[in-house]
Amino acid sequence: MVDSKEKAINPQIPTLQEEGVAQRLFSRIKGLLPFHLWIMLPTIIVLAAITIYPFVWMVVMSFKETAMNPGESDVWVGLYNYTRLLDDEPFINGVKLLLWYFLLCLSIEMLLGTSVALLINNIKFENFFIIIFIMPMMVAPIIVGYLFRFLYNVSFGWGFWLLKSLGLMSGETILANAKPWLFSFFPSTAFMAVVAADVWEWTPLIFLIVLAGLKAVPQDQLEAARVDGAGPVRTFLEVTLPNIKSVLLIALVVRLMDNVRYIDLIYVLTKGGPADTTKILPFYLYNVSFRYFEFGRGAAIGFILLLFTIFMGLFFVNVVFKKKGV
Amino acid sequence: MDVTRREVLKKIGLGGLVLVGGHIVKSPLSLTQLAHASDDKKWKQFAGSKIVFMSEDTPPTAAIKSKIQSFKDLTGIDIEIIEEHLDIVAEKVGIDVRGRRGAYAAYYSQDKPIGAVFYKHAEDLRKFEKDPSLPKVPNGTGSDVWLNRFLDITGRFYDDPKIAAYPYDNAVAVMMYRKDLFEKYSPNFETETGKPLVYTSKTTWKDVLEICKFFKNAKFPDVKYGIALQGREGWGGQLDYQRVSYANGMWLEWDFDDYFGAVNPGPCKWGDEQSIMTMGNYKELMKYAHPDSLTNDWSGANTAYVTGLAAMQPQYGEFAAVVEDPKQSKAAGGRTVYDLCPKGDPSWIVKGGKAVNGTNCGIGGIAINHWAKPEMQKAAYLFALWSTSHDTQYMVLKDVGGTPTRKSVFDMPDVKKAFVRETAPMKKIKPVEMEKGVMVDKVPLMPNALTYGPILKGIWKPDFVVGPKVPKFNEYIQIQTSEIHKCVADLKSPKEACLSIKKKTDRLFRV
Amino acid sequence: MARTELVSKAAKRKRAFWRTLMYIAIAAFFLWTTLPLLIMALSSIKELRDAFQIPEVGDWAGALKMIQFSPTFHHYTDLFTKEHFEHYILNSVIASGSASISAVSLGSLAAYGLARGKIPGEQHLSFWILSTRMAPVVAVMVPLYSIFTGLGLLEPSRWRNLLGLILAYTTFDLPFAVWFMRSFFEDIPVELEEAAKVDGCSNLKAFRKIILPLAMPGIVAALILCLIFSWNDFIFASIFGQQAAKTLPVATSELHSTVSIEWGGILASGTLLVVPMLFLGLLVKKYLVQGMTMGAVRQ
Repeated sequence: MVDSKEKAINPQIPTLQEEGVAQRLFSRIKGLLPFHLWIMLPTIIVLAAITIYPFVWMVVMSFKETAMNPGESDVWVGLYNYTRLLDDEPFINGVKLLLWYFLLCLSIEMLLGTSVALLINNIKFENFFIIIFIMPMMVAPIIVGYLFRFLYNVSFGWGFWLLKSLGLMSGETILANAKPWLFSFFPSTAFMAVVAADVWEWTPLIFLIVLAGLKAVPQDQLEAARVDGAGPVRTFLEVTLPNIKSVLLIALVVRLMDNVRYIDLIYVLTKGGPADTTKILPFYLYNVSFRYFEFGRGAAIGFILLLFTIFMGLFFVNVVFKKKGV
Repeated sequence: MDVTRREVLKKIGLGGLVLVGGHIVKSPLSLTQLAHASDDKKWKQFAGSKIVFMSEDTPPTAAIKSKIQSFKDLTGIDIEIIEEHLDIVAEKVGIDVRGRRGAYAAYYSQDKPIGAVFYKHAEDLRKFEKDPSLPKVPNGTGSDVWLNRFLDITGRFYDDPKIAAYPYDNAVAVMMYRKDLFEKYSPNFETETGKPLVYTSKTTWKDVLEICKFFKNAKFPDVKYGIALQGREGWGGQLDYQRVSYANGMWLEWDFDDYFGAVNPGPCKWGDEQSIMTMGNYKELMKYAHPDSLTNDWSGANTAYVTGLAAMQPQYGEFAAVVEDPKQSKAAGGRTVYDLCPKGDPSWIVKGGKAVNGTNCGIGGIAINHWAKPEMQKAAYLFALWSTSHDTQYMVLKDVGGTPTRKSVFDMPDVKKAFVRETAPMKKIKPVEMEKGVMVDKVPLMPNALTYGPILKGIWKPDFVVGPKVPKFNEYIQIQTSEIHKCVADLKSPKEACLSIKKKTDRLFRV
Repeated sequence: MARTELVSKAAKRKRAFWRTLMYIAIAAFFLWTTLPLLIMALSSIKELRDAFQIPEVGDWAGALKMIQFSPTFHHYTDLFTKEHFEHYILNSVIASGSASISAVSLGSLAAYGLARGKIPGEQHLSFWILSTRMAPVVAVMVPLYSIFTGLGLLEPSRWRNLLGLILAYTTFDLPFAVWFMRSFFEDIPVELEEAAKVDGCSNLKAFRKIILPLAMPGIVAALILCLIFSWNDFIFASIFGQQAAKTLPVATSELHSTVSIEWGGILASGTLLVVPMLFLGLLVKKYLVQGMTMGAVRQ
């Protein structure tokens, strides 16, 4: 009946059978965009609808000082919200800590998650280990915060007891400890405690994604490597890694974004203290926007954070992973 | 109804007691008595409307919530009470009023963190007081019916004559300490220092420091530290520090009248000799306090106290409900005594300043949202009237534990009796074994009232400190507490920390 | 002869050494993951006063205290009888479930479009999609709040609030879903669809009949991860969920009131949160891990 073969290949060519006006109109509209764009449209519309206005708002707001009281209106302050950050101690401190946070969380999670996935892959009781190892992910970060606050408590925390008993800690407290941990250039003990909670919760994500990637590594390639007499390290670098690169990238970028977006853990564990040693930039932003209610200043910080995340994202996508066509 | 009540009881830590203790005492006063026949119409005029009250999850709110049916019966208004953390309350109220939405017709306006910042978004309550179509409550709402100057604290800001909120909830700091431990270890303390181990209203912060050193060094099996402080970032830490700084020389960061505050406070006094001295002393106190004191807020400090790790804590009166509950607390069963906060010490004061029992507070007000619709505002005003009326405050105090703000409640004979443990009405509970051989089978009916003795003494000048009410209060306390932390953590000297606060604060207020 | 034996013995010993090391490493990670969970679960069935008991530092024998107590389940029953956690669990399930499903449905289409289409500026488009997930939530909360108000999603009604949450979660799950599934679609050889089209399938039909089944493991994996992300959310739920659509994390955080931290309830709720993982774990194994052995179709 319908020349479906041709239509499938060239959907924009109306066939003779489609003579109704409605049908004609439909195929016209359909012909406006290629099929692949059509199916992307819902996603693009939803995302645009919900993100463009906030984005514009944020940029515009960052040039204003917002009015606190009824009857007053916002004042344009030009670049003041940005320039004031140059000698704003909490801002600079926040950037520094955020970089530390990235460095520690991302590197530990990636390393640990990948190694555990490699170790677990194809061993006995793999199923059991998978189920156990991904459990922490299901505990919402806010509750992980409470759990670790419970564990770190000096009065009744088993975590504190264990660290002390193993001799891994010299201080009298974990969360109130602003002293650097291990080396003097390291962030505070409280900061490391937050990092530990983040690692506990999110290493499983990396583990899971990498494990899934490992399962997809073609057997013949592994076989070929073995025939070549490659050791486990070389096999990993030459066969496995290229194959799991794209999932690793996604995992890394997701963790990167979420480290900037969410502050649940710090919100529960330390509120940025002691002595500002856990006040990473997103938390400072939270204070500025929702404690001091300075939306203009908050928007400027938010915009900087967004640019920073985009930059880091591009860096990972284009430089580190050099993924074609991304 | 029953479920909500239990929910409330659990929240304020009495769940176990009352469930076992049997039926809750029925209130002798019916709330509908408020509505005199002539007024009945006025109370009922908004029947059928629906309003939302955004409140902090404090014991009085939980208590009010459990009694909300009588408000619904009285007015026919359907009210939803949302209970949140103070931080979240500020966040949500802030977003709401800054977004001009007015979804919360009434909101909890904690004097400094919310009131001082958003009071302009509150309706002037005098407008409603003058409105003849709205009812009145017995005794009215004039400034003299509230304790001390509570109406000024919650309602008045800067040079504005407007009244922004009625006093709804009072949290005043008192000292709680373990009498049993003090008695037990007094001989040891005496051999060490030549003085008996006692706490009175004349005990100074320096004495407290000495006691802390004693407990920390002695390493007794049943208590590890002398005091649990609450230095967590933000308001908790600011209040904690203020109790020491005000006691020693009545030091305030600015010279304005602290009942009203100032929009432009001018240069602050941080960095002066007294502030540096106090900073050093506070650091010393922190050094010998419970080690989590820098990250604990009020509930964290209280946990340290009730788990028996600290022998003392400066704490807000409403925590007595938890302290007196033997299921949660090792400090229950008559072991805790409540007294005024410590006094300043002459040797901690620079040139002749006065030593006082520095007592501070967070007085929660109930405010009407400027952005809500006029009928909603009036309906919310009815709720504000009802929830702060004598009958309601008395009822929730007796039944589930509240923190009244009206003088007349404190004058009730049975409340007065409850001030002192010896005469306080008790309630039988299923016996709880506190430790081997020590059983507790009754608890005070109104545990919070045990703190009213010191509270009623502490809320007068010169001991009482209210401020600082400044529009940028929330940022100011962040600056302050983070520098205090740096000093306590040895990252800065007391002088550096004070000067840094000075610099940043003056910049904040554009001095 | 003897030499080779010696060599193989040394190799064996070496292998045994590495194997032991591997088991030790797995055991260490096992402890690291399970100890906090174990303490959480144990403490949730203790009276608070028992939960607060820890031995002196260094007193290893005293660690037995952890298991010496008389269990009580009242923290759990309290969650349901006093706090109505069944509502909050339901809210969480509805919000995160619907959001993940809609994110994955929309996302799989978009991901396929990205993987197959030759669209000008595709690189920018795909990065833009990802970047919509990058803005710090706090910085855009106020404009989002007004959008949600405008859509009537903040009125005090359970279904409206739930709808708001679903919308919010969908938008932050979508970019992830698109990116994650895209690599799966890319791994499916184009020849398969082309063959289908030659056989008379339309684009959509080819996608539905050929591609979707092949990409199912990836789709289920994306679904599970989206589920986890929205299940864990706190900030959106606390602001957009309002009272009527309170989710589990928000309800749990409210157990920390001004006067006390309800440790028993919080830990019990945390333990409850882990339980679905046991079921999800089976799914994960089936689809995410075993199903992903797509070596057959992968080049």
